Amino acid sequence: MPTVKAKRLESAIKLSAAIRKIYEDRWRNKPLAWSVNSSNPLNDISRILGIYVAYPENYACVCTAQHLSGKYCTIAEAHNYKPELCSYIRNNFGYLLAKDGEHPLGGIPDPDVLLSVSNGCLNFIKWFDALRLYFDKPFVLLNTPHRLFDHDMPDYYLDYVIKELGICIDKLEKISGNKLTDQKMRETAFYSREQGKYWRELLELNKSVPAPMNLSDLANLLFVPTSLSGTKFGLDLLKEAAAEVRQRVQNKVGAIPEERHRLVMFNIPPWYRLDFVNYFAERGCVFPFSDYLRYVWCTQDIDSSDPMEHFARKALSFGHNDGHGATIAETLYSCMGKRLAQDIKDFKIDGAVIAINKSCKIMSTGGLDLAHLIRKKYGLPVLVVDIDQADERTYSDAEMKQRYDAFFDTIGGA
Amino acid sequence: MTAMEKINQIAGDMRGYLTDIHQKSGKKFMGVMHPVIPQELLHAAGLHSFRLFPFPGEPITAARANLHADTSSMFRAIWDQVLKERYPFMDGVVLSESCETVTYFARGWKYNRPDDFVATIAGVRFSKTQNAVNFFCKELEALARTVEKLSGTSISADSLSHAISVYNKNRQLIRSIYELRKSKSPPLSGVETLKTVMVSHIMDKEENNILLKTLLEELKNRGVRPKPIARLMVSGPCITDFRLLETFEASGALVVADDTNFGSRSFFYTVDNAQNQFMALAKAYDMVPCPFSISAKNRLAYINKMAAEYKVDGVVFAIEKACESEKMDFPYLEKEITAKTKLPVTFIETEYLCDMAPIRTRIDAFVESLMK
Repeated sequence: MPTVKAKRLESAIKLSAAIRKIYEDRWRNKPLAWSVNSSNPLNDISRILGIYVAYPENYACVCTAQHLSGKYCTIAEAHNYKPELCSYIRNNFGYLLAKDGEHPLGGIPDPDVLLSVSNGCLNFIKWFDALRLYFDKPFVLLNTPHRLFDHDMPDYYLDYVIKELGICIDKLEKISGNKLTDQKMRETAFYSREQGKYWRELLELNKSVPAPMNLSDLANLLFVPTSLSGTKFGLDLLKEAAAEVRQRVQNKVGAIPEERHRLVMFNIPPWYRLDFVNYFAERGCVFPFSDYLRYVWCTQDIDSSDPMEHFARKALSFGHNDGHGATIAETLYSCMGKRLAQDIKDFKIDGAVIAINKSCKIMSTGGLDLAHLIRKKYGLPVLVVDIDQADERTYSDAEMKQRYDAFFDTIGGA
Repeated sequence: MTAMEKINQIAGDMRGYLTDIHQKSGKKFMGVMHPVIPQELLHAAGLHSFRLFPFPGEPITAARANLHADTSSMFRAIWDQVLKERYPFMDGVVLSESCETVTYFARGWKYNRPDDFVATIAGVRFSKTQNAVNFFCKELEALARTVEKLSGTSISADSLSHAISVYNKNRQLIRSIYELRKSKSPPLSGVETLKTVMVSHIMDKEENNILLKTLLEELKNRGVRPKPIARLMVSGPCITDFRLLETFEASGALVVADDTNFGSRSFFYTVDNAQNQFMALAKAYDMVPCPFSISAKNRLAYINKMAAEYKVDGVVFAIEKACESEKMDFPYLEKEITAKTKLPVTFIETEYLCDMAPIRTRIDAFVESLMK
């Protein structure tokens, strides 16, 4: 097993403590919403209205990191949630259907309302529809259309989402018994926009050699744009992280002791084996960015002067589409153009790891074309591996090490 | 030749039939994925539209370079046959925001075949507000402009009204055929019904209406058929493989109803031709009960109503391995149907070119359990 450990960011350690506290606090606060970790303005708005938000998707990652995915997925499958379904969903239903009361971080309280948005995967709707039926609680959905191709967004897309958002806000005001104020909307939109700026700065800083952060640092910090979006607390955490990383860059402090290769990863990392980056670190390999970190969240600066438009555009801008703003469905094929070429150059990338993830068809579709492109156009070695994000039963350490070792031979000097 | 013989003949070689009519018609042919795309628009633009599905019997090989094994095998098979030029009559496709593989691979299609004509529309999944219907209406107007460019024919109010009438008639005729299956001894089998609807999905709709009218008359005079040992309903996504229903019916049971994309989900509604036509299309197609469009609760109501009307003895969920929307609904549907409606339910996992032997064993056992 890995012996070289990446130097963890102090701010990431602080964030871990904050996450624990956030989970504890959820037991004390009502009403509680369960929501999805995508670019979901309903989360930002619910918080203004005094609705606390918990994320079963994030909780599935927590359970997975504590190696409980095998247990929970098995329970869910026994209740007809088939193995082909997303492992976040199987973890979540396994947690709900488990009879014993021992769960990581004490579990998450049952929801009073369910929130979802359709800019992520199709399952975000079906999963939350299933939860709505399971809990018999109100379901507030912001439906955002997917553009299946690169094209400028017609005006009626924005108009439609602004109106849908208004309908959702009416429902949330009734559930919370509170009214939105213009000032709070503006503040939240401002924090949302500022968080995006700091997130993008963190990624820009990682172009430095040596890279000040590894994939695991960024994956931890991702909790802010995913789960603390639109909060001052989240903004302060990112500001602190940015200050620390700037310092690292100034002092040429790398995330790993001896950086010899800079790799890009595509797809969601295996949360139960996030320390796979340490195995790479032992061979001098660092991951300065991944598509999940760079082409999905906060990909563009969205003006916050009109909060409703900001939030509608935020919902429509999940993912990367050559700067137009898009939805996650468009991520992988969209990034294959100039953006990836520029990033390979700027981040000084000399190899790629592409995960084909059974649980996430959205992030995996295009992976095979991408591998071909990177090999052919950029002449870089590519490792394609089957890795599920949150079903540890599908992962074999021995087999994966063999694949990794073969890849190290290919890139040489590792 | 009887209408059913003609249907059997076309169904026996659908690729050959499409190739033949493409050469004779002089029209451009458009493949359409999923029942949520109003084909009336294509008809009004002077195009021949047909529902896209993989032709049977060809192993997936070429598509493996682009689509990984966990994606829908139905769509992988279609893509495989596109790469192998098995749709020589197809001048373009319309893809909709729908199941995961189709939605996420639309760009992959253009990436790999940039010269193909590929039109797309976004949907309004679950959101049944007037605002959402207005949005879908605008998407349909945009689609109309796109297909007009391909066909070189403007869609007029008259041509769209005519197309809606033709499609309404087609849906009504198929519903009439479905009605006959409610009888104790239905005059046609599930396999024959599937062949009938598959032929309807590829034929010129006006010609198909004539064929269906003749078929209806034939079926009314078909004589007494043996009473099935069990009446089944099939629920699942894109069931196009005749072998599957042949396997089900080899048990002695009869498939009398379906909740599938190529089956009842494509025919149960009528478009109101009197009002604003784009809005009427948006409202009607917004109701299509595909799992990616509506709640499992609404699907339950649809299945229960159909099961009662057709007096089914059991429900077979025949779900494509990679179809997550269907699989997400299954635990709820299974629980509710068995607990409240008291109908036995079984689950069969299917894939393009799947092996029928294990399915036969399971269906035989299921049908036997229904007879106890």
